[in-house]
Amino acid sequence: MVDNYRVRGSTRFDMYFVWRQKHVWTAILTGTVLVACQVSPPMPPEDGLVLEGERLFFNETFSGNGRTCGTCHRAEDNFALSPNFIATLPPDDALFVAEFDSNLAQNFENPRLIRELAMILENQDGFDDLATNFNMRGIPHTLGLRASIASAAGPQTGWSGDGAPGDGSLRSFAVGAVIQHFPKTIDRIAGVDFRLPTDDELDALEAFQLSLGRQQDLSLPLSLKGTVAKRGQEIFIDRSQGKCNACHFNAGANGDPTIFGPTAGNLNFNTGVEDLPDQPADLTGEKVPPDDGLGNPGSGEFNTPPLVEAADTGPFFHNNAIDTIEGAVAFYNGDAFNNSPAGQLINGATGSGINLESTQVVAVAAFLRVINALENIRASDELLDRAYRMSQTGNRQSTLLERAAFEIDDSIAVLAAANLHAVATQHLNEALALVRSSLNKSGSSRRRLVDDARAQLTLARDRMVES
Amino acid sequence: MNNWISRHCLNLAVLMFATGVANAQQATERYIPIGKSPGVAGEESFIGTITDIDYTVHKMEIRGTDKRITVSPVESTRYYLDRTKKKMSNQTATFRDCEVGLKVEIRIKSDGSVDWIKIESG
Repeated sequence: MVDNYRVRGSTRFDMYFVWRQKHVWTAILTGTVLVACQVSPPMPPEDGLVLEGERLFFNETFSGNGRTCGTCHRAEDNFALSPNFIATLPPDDALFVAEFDSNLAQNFENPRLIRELAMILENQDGFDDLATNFNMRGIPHTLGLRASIASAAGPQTGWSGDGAPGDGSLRSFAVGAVIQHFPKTIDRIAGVDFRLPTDDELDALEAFQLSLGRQQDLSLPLSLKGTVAKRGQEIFIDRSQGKCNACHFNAGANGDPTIFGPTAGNLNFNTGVEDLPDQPADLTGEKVPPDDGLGNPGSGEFNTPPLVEAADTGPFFHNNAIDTIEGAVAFYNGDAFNNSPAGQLINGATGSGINLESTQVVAVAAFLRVINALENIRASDELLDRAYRMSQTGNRQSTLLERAAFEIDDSIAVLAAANLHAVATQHLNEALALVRSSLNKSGSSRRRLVDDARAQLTLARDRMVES
Repeated sequence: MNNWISRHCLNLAVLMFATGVANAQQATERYIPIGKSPGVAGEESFIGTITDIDYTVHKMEIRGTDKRITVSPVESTRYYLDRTKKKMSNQTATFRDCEVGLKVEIRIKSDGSVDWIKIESG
């Protein structure tokens, strides 16, 4: 089955190559350049629509099985879900609904794969044969969406770019999610097993999701201070070495506009992840059909995730095949990638595949860890600022402080796991302790602790990058 | 543009166009009742009643509130039987499930072809 899948992917690619070549130049010559999908401009983080979207995201079950969007996209876990976090959940958490609701015991989830590998069941290719036709996928985070889902051909949502029904937009994504993940029974009858979100609710959910994380891409190279991370950045950008920047431009989710065109945005590729041997899900012995990616029948393609948020949002790839960021970088050295359509394209374009030495793999990973920690610091500082700037009430302020603490905690973990920036990590530990202390205080005492925490964040950042 | 880009810009651009097709999800569309598909209903779809149908040439006429259209589904057109009002699970269907007098919603793609047809269960 895997062999057939490979052959089909290559053939399709070759056919498209010839067909599209004509159309690309026709478009350029006639000036009918595709316009990238535009998303609405950033809005104030505490905008009423965003707040309503946040309430819906974490609390609204849409009259279904008890799950909310936040069941799988946890604020405490970077709006994604990892096995370590899952291990902390109580047995009656709605994530495990297939374990305690007999209506959902069959063909709805695989409890073992949820618990061990944080994999969720998706019927991406249809609901007619639930026992055999399904995919097991990881849960992508919802950070930085404003900078990572637009493409020349329209919005790219979910792992394969086709995650949303209707018009395929992020706004429509919630409708598909409710149908797939929220129903009381697998009959999935609207008005019985769930209710569909209203237009107003879809507007609010979209606004909230777009407000999360970065609102724009980085501009590489950064003036990094860490020796190894700095070298990793050079390899990342270098078109004769890492070649990473071609598809992850500025470590984001979009193609390099000087290569793919100014409106390319997010792209889909078949990188051969499905061809990896010894995938953890396969090793369990559980039934895990091959995932054919975009479309039905699938093209084998999956969309490009942003890398700024990668280091603290593993496991990696659509099938949670690899646990560490170092392993994810090393994937591009292997046969699975270099023999894939995307790998062959890189080979053809540059005269070689990707072949990094282990020190170089670690350096690129160090770069990704550092930019992830810098984003954590930026996000936590913004949350701390927002907690006061908006004259928040006590509960809302505490929520923002808790989310800031999650971000700081992540930055520490990401750096410490690779022995990066030990002094900056001390400042981050101090900042974390201050924020946690502030949660037990109120008024000016709390404010003072938060101000001190922000000062520690600045010191940490200054250790990692030139201002 | 440096040499690397100028040599290979076209190849990579071709990949972009070959793979950058952002599709709406097909699977869950089945369970969305007539008139409720987000961003589609009322904008990219036509809702009406089948007034005439020719099974041999795959053509049917639909009367909406203020106009009448004739559509010819293509091989890739998907059909869904909307049984929501009966509180039954929606099903995939075929052109043969289209009958005169039934309410349908038809999504027409930008190239004029029919993406899907939802048929209200009689």
